[in-house]
Amino acid sequence: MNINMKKLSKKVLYFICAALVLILCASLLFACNTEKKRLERERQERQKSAYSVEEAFLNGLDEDWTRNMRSGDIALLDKAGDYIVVEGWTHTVCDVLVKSDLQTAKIKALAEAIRSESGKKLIADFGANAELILPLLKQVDLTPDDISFLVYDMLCALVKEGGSTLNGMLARLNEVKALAISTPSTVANIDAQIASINTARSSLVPTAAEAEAMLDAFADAKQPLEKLVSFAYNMSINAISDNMYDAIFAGNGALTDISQSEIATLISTLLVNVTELKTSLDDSAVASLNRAFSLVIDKFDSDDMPSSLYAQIVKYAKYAYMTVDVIPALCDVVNAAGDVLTKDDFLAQIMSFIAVGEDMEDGMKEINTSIIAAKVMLGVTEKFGENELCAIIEKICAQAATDHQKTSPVILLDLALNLSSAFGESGDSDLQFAHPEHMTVDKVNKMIATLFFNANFERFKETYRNFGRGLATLSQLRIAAENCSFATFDIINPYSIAVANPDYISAEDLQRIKNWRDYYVSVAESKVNETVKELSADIREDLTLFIREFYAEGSASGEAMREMAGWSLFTQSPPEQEADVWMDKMRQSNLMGIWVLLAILFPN
Amino acid sequence: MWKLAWKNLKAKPLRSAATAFAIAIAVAMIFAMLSFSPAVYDFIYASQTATSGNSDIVISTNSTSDRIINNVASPLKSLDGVANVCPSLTLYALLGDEYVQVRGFEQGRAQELQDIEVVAGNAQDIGVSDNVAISQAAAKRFGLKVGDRVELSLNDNKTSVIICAVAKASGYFLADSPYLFLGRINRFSKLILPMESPVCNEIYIKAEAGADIDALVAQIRSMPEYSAMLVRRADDEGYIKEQADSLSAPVVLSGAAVLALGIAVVALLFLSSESEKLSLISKYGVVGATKKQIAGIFLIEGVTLAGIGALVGSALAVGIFVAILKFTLSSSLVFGISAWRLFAAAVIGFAAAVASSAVPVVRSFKGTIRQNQIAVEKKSKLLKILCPVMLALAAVSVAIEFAVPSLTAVFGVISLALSLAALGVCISTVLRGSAKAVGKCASPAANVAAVNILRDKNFSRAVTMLGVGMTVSMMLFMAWSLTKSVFSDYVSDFDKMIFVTNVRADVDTGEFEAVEGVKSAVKIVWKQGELSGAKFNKTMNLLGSRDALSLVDFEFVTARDTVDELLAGDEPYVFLDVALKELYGVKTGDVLSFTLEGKTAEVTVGGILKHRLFSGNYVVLSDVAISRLYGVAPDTVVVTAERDTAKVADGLRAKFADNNYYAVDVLTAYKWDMQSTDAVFDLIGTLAVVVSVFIFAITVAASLVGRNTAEKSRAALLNAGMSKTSLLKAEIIEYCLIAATSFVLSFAVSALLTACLIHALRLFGLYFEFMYRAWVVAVVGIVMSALYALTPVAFNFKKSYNIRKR
Repeated sequence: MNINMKKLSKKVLYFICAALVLILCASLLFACNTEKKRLERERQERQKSAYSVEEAFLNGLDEDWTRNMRSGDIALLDKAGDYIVVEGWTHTVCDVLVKSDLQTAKIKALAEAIRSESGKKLIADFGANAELILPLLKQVDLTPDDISFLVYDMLCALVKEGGSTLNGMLARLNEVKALAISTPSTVANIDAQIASINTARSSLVPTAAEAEAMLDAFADAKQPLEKLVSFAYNMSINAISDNMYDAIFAGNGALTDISQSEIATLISTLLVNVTELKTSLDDSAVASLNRAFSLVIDKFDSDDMPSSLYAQIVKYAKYAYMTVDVIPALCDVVNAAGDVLTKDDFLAQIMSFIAVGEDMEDGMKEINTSIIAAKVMLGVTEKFGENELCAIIEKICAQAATDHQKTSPVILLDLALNLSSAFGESGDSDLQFAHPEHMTVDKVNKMIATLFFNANFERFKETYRNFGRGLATLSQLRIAAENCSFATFDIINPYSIAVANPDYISAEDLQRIKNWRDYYVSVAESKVNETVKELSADIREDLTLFIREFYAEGSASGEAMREMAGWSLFTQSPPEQEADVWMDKMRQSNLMGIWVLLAILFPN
Repeated sequence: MWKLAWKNLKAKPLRSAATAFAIAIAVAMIFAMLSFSPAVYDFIYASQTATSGNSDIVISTNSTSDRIINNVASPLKSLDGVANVCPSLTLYALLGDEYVQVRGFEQGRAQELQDIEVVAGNAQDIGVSDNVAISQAAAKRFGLKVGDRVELSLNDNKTSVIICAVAKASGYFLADSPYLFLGRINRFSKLILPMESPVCNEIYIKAEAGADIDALVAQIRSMPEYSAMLVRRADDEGYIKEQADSLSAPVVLSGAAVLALGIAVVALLFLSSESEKLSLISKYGVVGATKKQIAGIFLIEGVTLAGIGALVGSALAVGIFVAILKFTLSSSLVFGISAWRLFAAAVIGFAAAVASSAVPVVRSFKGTIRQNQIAVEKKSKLLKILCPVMLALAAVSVAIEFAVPSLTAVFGVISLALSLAALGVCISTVLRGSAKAVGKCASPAANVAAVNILRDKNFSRAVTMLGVGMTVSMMLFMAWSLTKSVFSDYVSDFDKMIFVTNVRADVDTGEFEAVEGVKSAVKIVWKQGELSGAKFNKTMNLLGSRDALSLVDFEFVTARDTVDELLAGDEPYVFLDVALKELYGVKTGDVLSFTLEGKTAEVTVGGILKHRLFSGNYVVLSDVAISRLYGVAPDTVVVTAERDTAKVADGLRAKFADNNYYAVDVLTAYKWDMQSTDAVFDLIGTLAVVVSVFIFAITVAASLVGRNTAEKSRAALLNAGMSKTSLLKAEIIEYCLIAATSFVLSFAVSALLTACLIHALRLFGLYFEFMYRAWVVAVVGIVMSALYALTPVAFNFKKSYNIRKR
């Protein structure tokens, strides 16, 4: 090859190399650009889905409401103020959705669910009953993990962005008010919301230090909180009563004609969830949860919370706060019960019990239920020693003494045990408590009152809120107050809610009613806490005595329990004398009260 | 010498390139044939173990056990020899109205049994919360992509999942029929329970290294928790080998012919330039070159061409073969390339090339310089002797093959080889005869063509290559047609049948018969077991029911009445296919062993049946006997529809929705079952096409190379006044004669070769009745012949005509 050819070959080679490098760079750039565009496209799609949720929710509440309305259009709405507040909170919640790890497809599914006929019905009633969020979430089929992550994210968002959300709403309200000045009803609505927001700003927005403390507490409690929420959502009441029964026994599931061993397997696998919960709730986890819940309740448990959804979350936080201390012990009890429930002879009896089905008379059902309860309880007590159970009671009562909200479980248990002994051998109405040195009629009344207070105080506050919106009557408000048993705690309200004309409530009446309500809210909790503090020692001693008596050799309650646990389930109606024997044993074993308790909680 | 050798190679660049290319192709073909069977085994193994992955033992539910297994506080973990326990939940659910498989693992454990290779999404997200992975095929079928949400249902229960990854067809997704959704146990448990729960119905166990798997299986079976479950080894290597061998047998036999053809083609290629080499050798002799020097020059040439061919062929072999495997079997499976097979193929090609290149040199040493110069060819008497001898040998072999049943299999192979050899030897004689006949035509072109054929040895070589090559191609396509037909054609007999699985053993078949459109319903044990006799040990498909004979139109070698009577009784009489009688001499009254689910019992042959079902690998035994001997109860109901099978299947699903039965028509069920073997059929077909193309390419290349030696005579014809058109016509006639002769003889011999192939398959334990698809053979032959005949036109021979030879 001559020199020119060689030079040409070299040039050609260089050209090819340069071209290759250029192509490579272009490909890289293209790939990066494509990747960037893909991410941007995904982000936009996600944002669009969240907007869709917002739009669907607002439209579900009111047909005239849409997302991102201009101020001029808002000013034309009847409830312009309501719109601004709802839109503001919805936007905050949707923002949480966008920033969360929830898959975009689920956000879309949420929007579709809200837009569906059943979703619209749920949303229409949402304002009055925010618990309807649960059936909506189940309709969307979010996982328990999704719910737990979202709850955590929403709590953090409330702390971090609650203030800015309220400020934004206020600015908007003022802006729209200026435009709606010629429509008095609209202005009135806006004014009411401005007042509400101002109040919320003053009471619900945490300071920087408070926010930091709360966020730290949330971070500490993140894992157990998510576990608890996930468990609760997964094992919600629907699942463990009607649906579970149908799924297993009613013949329309995959485990039709379920066998005994399959039931045992099923119970064992369900108990895995319980065990996992117990494992995640060690002492430090419980302490961190208590701290997080108490901070949330202290700051956000208020009538001034303008968001129904957040108010509902705070309510759930209160329920959790009430029970978190007893959950680990309950898990142990459930696991111990599981060991009994999975025994072959027990399952065989259950199968024959179910086989009778609808032919079973009510009386027979009650007897059989109590026999099952006896077997389970005996199994539990065999698993736990006397000192172990007493230690659990000691721990729970110590927590209960600090806050009336935590007293319900121990009060219920003590009342149930006392109920059995209270009615005497012949079932007459003479109240004879097993340990009169600790339990008197007065104390029992206060315990019952505490239960009623714990169950109904929130409802009282909610009824007042609804009264303020015109959704509840004065009579309903009065009943709600009566259900709180204020009188038992010697809470005498100086204000009265009597009105001359119930059909017309004047501004003065409204102010007086507000004062009446404010009095209860300001005084009731501290009074109840005082009472509870006094009662807790007696409750603890009473429960401890019941336990020691049960375990004592030759104890009547223990023997009665064992005898009942040894009975087989009835597949036919028992003769009358046997029913009487059953009644006596129920009383002696102290199961009477527990049976009544179970009958109330699980009516089916 | 080096310079001279190099100069010779450069002097005819096209010929050198074509020769090296032909060697490369031959090496590639040899490698493909050597590697076919192991590749099929690897694929079948991967497919059969797709579900169980690296586990050694599987515990699963059956028709009499619980439907869910307790993996809580599993006692398995404490057993000696158990390294890992992996629970799983596998169900059939509906996506829309199509069945899909759902398979759940505990969180973070989806890749414990198999790796998952994703093409989109993130493998780490699989099995987290409600994330699932699907295959590319499933994504295409349902129009899904990463991020999409789908709702799966089972009876009244539903669960929604999110596609987080799309995976390649490897690992779990090799068993993707029906389409697999891989996710988390808890999420899929919502299909059977109202809440998420870690319930499972399978447990996969990985044993420690060196553990005795069979002992572990026995130990687990004896545990009360698993005594009612199905406990078995995760992979049955014996069965996999059996299946792979069965599928690859026809190709393995044909492959031997391909191997021989490859060697022959290389030899013929070198021989096609023999006269030129002889002339060149004479010139070297004239200038005083010694024999050693001459041998050295041509050895260097031969080694250089063989070396290049072997190297290029090795690269081509791996590249093309792996590409074929990935295209047909699985694009994501990693196929091992055996270095020794590659080396063997390269060595065979190299050795054949070098040896062939030495032939002209050796011949030249026998003649004088003058003889070499004028390329005097002594008419070889060898051909005259060899042709009738080969024909006679082939005839004798065929006669023994057909007449002596005990030697049929062995002589099937011998007859195959001898018939091909006879064809190769005799085809040139037939061509010469044809040429003589054509030469009597008035056309000058025909006369020229006839003379050329009779004079030039290259045409004999060309017809031999094309004829034998065409025959081998026909055999490969017949092998493909045979394999496909034998392993799947019988399914069409089941087109009115529906499998209903997941039934309990005590199900009442009357309930099925009450469904509209159902003609009959038979409860049956449908499993696989191992049948052992004195001369064999085979995995067989069990038709476990007294009513099994009503399912299929069996032919009865043993009288029907006798069979019915014995089957209705309680004694363990088995009924086998005539294939076992032909292959192993099994007869009525013989006592054999049959192993089912780990238990072995003796059974007596009650009669012989005949059907293509499972290629004869079936056993009919009554369900009563099965229950008594093995404790196994029926697990399937086979429903026969009167008319519209799909409608009846829908009706069954609707009626038994509460019972969670899986009702699927047999054709679909077999489609699920045959997914891996379909891929092997595709491989065989593709290989047949590729090898045929290779054979054709080599043949054309050899023809072109050989054509160069006749350049002088073409120039002389043109100088004598023959027109280019006329010369072209002559060449076309030459090629047409070769093509026609090859086609006629190949077609004629193909039927015999097919019979020999079928007989030879008995050596692999495969028995089939004679099956011949003339259209397959005809199409292959016509295509190859037509293309060959068009070579002068395709390569524009006319352009190369020159009055003066350069």
